[in-house]
Order: sequence, then C-alpha cells, then structure tokens
Amino acid sequence: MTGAALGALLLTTITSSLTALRVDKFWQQAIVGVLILTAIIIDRVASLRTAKKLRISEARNV
Amino acid sequence: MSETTSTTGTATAPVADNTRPLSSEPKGKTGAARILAGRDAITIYALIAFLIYAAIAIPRFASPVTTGFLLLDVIPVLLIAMPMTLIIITGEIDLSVASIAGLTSALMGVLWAGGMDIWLVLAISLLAGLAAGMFNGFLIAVLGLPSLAVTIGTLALFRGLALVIIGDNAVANFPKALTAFFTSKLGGTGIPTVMVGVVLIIVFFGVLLHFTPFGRGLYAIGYSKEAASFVGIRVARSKFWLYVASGVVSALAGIYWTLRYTSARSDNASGLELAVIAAVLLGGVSIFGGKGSIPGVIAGVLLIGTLNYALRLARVSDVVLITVTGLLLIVSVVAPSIGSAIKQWRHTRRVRRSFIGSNT
Repeated sequence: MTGAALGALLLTTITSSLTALRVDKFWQQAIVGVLILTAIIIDRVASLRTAKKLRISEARNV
Repeated sequence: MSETTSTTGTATAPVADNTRPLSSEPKGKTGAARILAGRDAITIYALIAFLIYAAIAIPRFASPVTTGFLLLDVIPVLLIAMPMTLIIITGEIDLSVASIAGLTSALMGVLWAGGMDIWLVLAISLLAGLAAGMFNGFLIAVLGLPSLAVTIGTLALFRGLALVIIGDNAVANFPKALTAFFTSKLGGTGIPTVMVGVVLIIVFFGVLLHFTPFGRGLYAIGYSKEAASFVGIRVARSKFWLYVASGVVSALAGIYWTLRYTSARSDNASGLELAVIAAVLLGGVSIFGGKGSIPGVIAGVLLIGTLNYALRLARVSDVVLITVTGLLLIVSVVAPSIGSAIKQWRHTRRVRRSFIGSNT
C-alpha cells in the first residue's frame, strides 16, 4: 500500500520536474513509459539476485 | 485397457458408489452439446437475436448502408481482437495495441509529409509495428516480466513516441486513390472492399488457433505453464511470436485508421485497447487463460459494434451507450464464474451425499 502511494507520488514528481527542467512536452509521456519499464526490469533483476544469493547461502549451510 | 482403469478406479476412489452404473453419473458436455451450448455459442445466439430484433424494431437498420458503416467502424477492433484472443488464451494480456496503432499512424504522417513514396511509407509503418511487437515480446518472453506491467509501460512509451514524432500536427493529404479504396464498397452489398483482407487475417488466426499444434499449445499454456513446458511446448517462443503478431496487426489497424479517416495524428485509436479487450471477453474468452474461440470473439466484436450502431440510430445518448457496453462486459465476466461456483457447489454436495450413503 505504502509502496503504491510512493510510486504514484514519484510519478507525479517526475512529471512536474520534467516540466520544471523544460523538457520538451512531447517527450514527457515517452519518458514516463521508459521509467515504468526500467522500474519493472530493476525489480526483476533484484529479485533474481536475491534468489541466487539465497541458493548459495543454502548450499553453504548444507 | 478396461482392466487397468477399473483397478485404478477402485484403488484411488473409495468415494465411488458401486451400486450405480457409470453411465448414470453426471458428465461434462460432449459432442454437439458442447458446441451448441458453449459459452461462445451463447454470444453468437445473442448477436443473431439482437440483429433480428434491430432489423424489425429500429427503422432504417436493415439496409446496405448499415452493413457498410457498421463494418467500417468495427474493422480496427476486429483486426486487433484476433491476436488479442490468442494472447489472452495464453493467460497474458497486451495493453499497448492502441498505442502501436497510434505510433504507426504518426509515423505514416511524418514520412508521407516528408515526401516518401506511399508504398515505402506503408512498408516502414508495418516494420515499426513489427519492431514494437518484438520489443514487447522480448521483455515478456525472454526476460520473463509480467505482461500487464510491461504493456502498461509500452502503452505510455509508444504513445509518447507518437507524440515525439508528429507533435500536435495532423497530416491529411494522403493519396486520393488510396483513401477512396479504403472506404469503397463491394458492389451494391455495402460490404467494404478492405473486408476481404480482414477476412483473410481472421481465417489465418482461426486456423492457427484451432487447427495447428501451435494453437492447441496456447490453450495448454493458458491452463498451466509448467505442465505445458513439461509436454514439450516452447512457452517463451510461443509468447514471443504472439506479441510480434499483435504488433504487426496493430500496425495494420493503425494504417487502416489513418487512411479511413484520412488523418494521421498522435492520438489516433486511443482507448481502443479497452474496446478490444471488452469484445474479446464478451466473446467467451476467459481472462484467466485456457478458454475461448475465434468464432465467439467475432460474435463478441460484432455484438458490441451492432449494439452501439443500433442505439445510435435509435437516438440513444452516448452516456447510455457506454453504460450498456460496460454492463454487458460485467455480465460476460461475472456470469461464467457464478455458473462454475454453482457447478462446484453441486459437485461437493454430491460427493458428501455419496460419502454418507457408503457409511450407512
């Protein structure tokens, strides 16, 4: 729940800061799309890493 | 064969009531009953019933003009619904279809305004759709990311790229011969000429889904990815090609949209993905995957299309129109789950009864 609220807040912040940074308004939606995709990919990579680490530590304990 | 089944039957199912013959046990639907009373058949009956009702009750409905405008309006949804059916049957979803159509439309406008040959423009637009589909497919099938999240991302990305390409301009001076072809009719029947191509695409996807090992494998993936990969179905590869097909067909819909309305804009076809998904679900495809058929989906698309057209012809306001479509969608999603809940309840009651019967 908190994560979702933070995500919504972050997206709004990014959109307003893009305007403040005078990024061309036509690019804004594309940038939001790229950010969503990056977030998903980072999440996936992080979870894969955790799974790998767990497997290694389990193997050590056995 | 019969010996093995009988021994395993007594070994694993102590519940079985031996006093009754097997034929008296309730069965699932088989043969003709399965085709005539299936979920997609109901949509087809609803479509036929509504067509008959509209032809009698609504003045000016039964005419070649209706066929023409109805089909012209419904073609983009009908086109995109084909790959969407296959994708939803595998238990995934593609929300970026309308954005891909918008992107191809914007690309067409800019290239044509830049003075390129129209056939080259069409080829490049199709390739752009192919590339967009491959991008989706790569993220979902190769990296294994959830399709809902990825296509929400590319929904924003592709629409954003369309804005970047064409801005808030519109290109409208496409060749007259081509735009006239896209609204022309086959003789006096009122059927648009483009419908020939659309029917070819429908037949392609229908045969692919119902009569090839690839298509039957999609149902298996929809039921269980693990089981499907254990029986040798290449899950990742199937998904990748489905998203490529979805990208190409969305590009075709974008080209159609541009030439039918003679206008290339970045917001072309926006919101179309929801119309497509609503029609596909109404056509009897399960959102959880593993169930559905092409004839049902065609009926679903035509049912929503005719309903909109008829209500508009009867001077019903747009607000009521959207409400009716929404209600239809809710009914089509809720009704099957109520049905299966009732079936489950009757099943448990039967099992409980036979337990009590065998104990006394």
